[in-house]
Amino acid sequence: MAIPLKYNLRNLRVRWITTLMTASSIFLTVLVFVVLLALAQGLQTSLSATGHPLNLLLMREGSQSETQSSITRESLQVIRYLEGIAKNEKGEPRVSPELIVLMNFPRRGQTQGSNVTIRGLTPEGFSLRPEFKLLEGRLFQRGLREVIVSKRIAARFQNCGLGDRPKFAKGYWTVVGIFEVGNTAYASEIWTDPEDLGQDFDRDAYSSVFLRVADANALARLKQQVADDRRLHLKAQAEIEYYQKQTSAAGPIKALGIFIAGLMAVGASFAAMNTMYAAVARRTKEIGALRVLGFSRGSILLSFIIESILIAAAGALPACLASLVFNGVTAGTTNFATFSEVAFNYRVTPGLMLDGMIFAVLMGFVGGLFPAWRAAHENIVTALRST
Amino acid sequence: MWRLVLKNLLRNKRRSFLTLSSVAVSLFLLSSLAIVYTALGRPLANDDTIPLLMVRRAAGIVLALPASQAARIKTVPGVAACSPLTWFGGYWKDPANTFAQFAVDPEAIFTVLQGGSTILPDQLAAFKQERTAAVAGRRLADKYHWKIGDRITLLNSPWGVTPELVLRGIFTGGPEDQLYFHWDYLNEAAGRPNLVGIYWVRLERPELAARVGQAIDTMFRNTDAETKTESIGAFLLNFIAMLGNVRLMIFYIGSAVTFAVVLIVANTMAMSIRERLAEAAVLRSLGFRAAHIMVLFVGESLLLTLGGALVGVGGAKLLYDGLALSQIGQFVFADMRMRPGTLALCSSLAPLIALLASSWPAYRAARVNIAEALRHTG
Repeated sequence: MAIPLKYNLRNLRVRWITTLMTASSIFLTVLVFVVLLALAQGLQTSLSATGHPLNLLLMREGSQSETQSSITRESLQVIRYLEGIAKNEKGEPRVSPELIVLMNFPRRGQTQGSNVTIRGLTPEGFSLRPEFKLLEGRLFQRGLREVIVSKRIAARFQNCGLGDRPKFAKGYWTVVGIFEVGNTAYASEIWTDPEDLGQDFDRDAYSSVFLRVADANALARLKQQVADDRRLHLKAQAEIEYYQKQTSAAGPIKALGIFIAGLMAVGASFAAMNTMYAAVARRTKEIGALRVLGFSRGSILLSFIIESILIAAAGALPACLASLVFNGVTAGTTNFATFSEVAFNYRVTPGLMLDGMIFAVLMGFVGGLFPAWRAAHENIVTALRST
Repeated sequence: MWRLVLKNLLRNKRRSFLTLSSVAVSLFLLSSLAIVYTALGRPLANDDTIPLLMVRRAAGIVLALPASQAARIKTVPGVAACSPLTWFGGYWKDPANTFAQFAVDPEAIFTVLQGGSTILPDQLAAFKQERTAAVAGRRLADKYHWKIGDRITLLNSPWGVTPELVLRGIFTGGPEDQLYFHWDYLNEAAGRPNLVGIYWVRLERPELAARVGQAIDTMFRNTDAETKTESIGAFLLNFIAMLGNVRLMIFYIGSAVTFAVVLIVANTMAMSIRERLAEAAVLRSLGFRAAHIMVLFVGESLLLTLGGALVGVGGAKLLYDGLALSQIGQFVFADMRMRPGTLALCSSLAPLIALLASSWPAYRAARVNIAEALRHTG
């Protein structure tokens, strides 16, 4: 028969100071663990959620990112008439030539800047991104050096709000609108007209071309066609695939989170172990009494392990709740694949919180195992005689 | 006194061991965080003794500088040599084989690298003479098993050209994971855009850094390509800043770890002291003063934390110095060895933690009513 849970709970309450201190160190460990992993998760989600399943991205052969790629206007004319491209209401092919420029902007509250992607695209480009939504202001017009800024960039960088006039390339530009594009990589960009952008940066060619294919079969055919075309020297990949590849940036952060939390866990487990050893030493007589009453070694072992896990859970539960404070907080870093800013939100998912709880239970288990073993194997007579 | 402290600690070896290990692991983590924190703030510890400057486009690192600026930079007093450093960004044979490739001025580059890198004179002469020649660092050459005379073709660069180079020299010391070739060759192949990435400037003396830097920037102010001249450390900070406010996060994590350690030691001391209230009372009835008792208990926690610091901080120092020396990883963004300031800070955490953790329980034990304490059965 198992020792009732009440026994453990009562003991924890009597020694509440020790319980509190041990639980607190576990609280801190689990909090760091969950928050760091939420950071990695947010970065990964932002990058992998990007892309319409029927969008194709064309870049120069061998380019790893749009910034490295360049497509001439002549090539664009060939691309527009490839078979399999969807048509819009006017009957024109849904093709969007785009120009990418990286510009260094200072973040709010920092002097050092960071690269932000400025994308020149036409209205067709807007239609290819269904998540696009204009929040404030209006769209830019050609020839007036106007830009629209994504909400995240406007919040995180200096001089990028509605009405501001940032200076780059050959002069001043005006922010005429704020937009959002769901939780995608485009949510960290500044958009403007491609001709205005090209003129200011002396760029004659485009960086990349986005297009919508008619259906899923057309996607594979078009990919092959682009690859086979010797005139173009381009490669086509699904937009989703392109952004998936960049999620590797989240990997190191996850690894770092696990490393830090792992080391903290060692410290916290040792603390739990200390606490449990002291508890066992203090309750030796009780243990003897329990054995005399008929409780088996196994039930004593289980009881003390459970007690240790309870302490860990007591620390982990508030930690998981506390981590929710971070949920949705915007952060940003440089995506070294494109060498430009990617802003994202911390994402604390139920799965992550569950991971935190499991992590804590593990710490509790490891911390309680040896002391519980000790307790279970006490000699009954010696135990009863102890003070 | 200290013998008594030590003996008390050895009474419960397991508890002392667990606490010490806890402190050691936590201080190791804290030291790691501190090292990264300082490296992110000041990538190179000995910046002001290096006679090198980086000249980049003020508007942003990704933008190019006109090649014509080189001649003007060389006229600035204090400049011993100047070479363009233009990122090529291709790969060799397989997309996985990426490494730093730079188009440079072969006449100037090794003067710029003097003191850091060495190359055999005949290899240097061959490099200067042949337009398609390239030199690579020893570590890079070893990694790909290159020998002098090998053909190295760099593929798929954003420049859109495919240089076919011949390895004519291998240098040791300095940036051994980089490859250099002629800027003239690249420029011609690309259709003479006459652009460079950055300029690497060697100073006659390190003290001239500020003056030369300002002179260069002033020279190009109000031109189409304004420059920003910085030390290598400051230049690296540009890249580090791109990561975002990592330092703040590290600070928060470090605080959490420190807090956790204090709790862990405090927990141990509280338990230990509570068990020995009667002993403390006996000592006081023997004539020991309250102050003595406090010192005894605080001394115990101090010994624990100092021991933990020795293992944790000491271990971190050995590990990171060793790692840095073997320079694992290609793009070394910063000097990751433990600096004296960091070592001092982390070590000084030990007595701080000890004091924070044990003062209150020790004080209570020292002041408890003797008669009550003697009756205390734990």
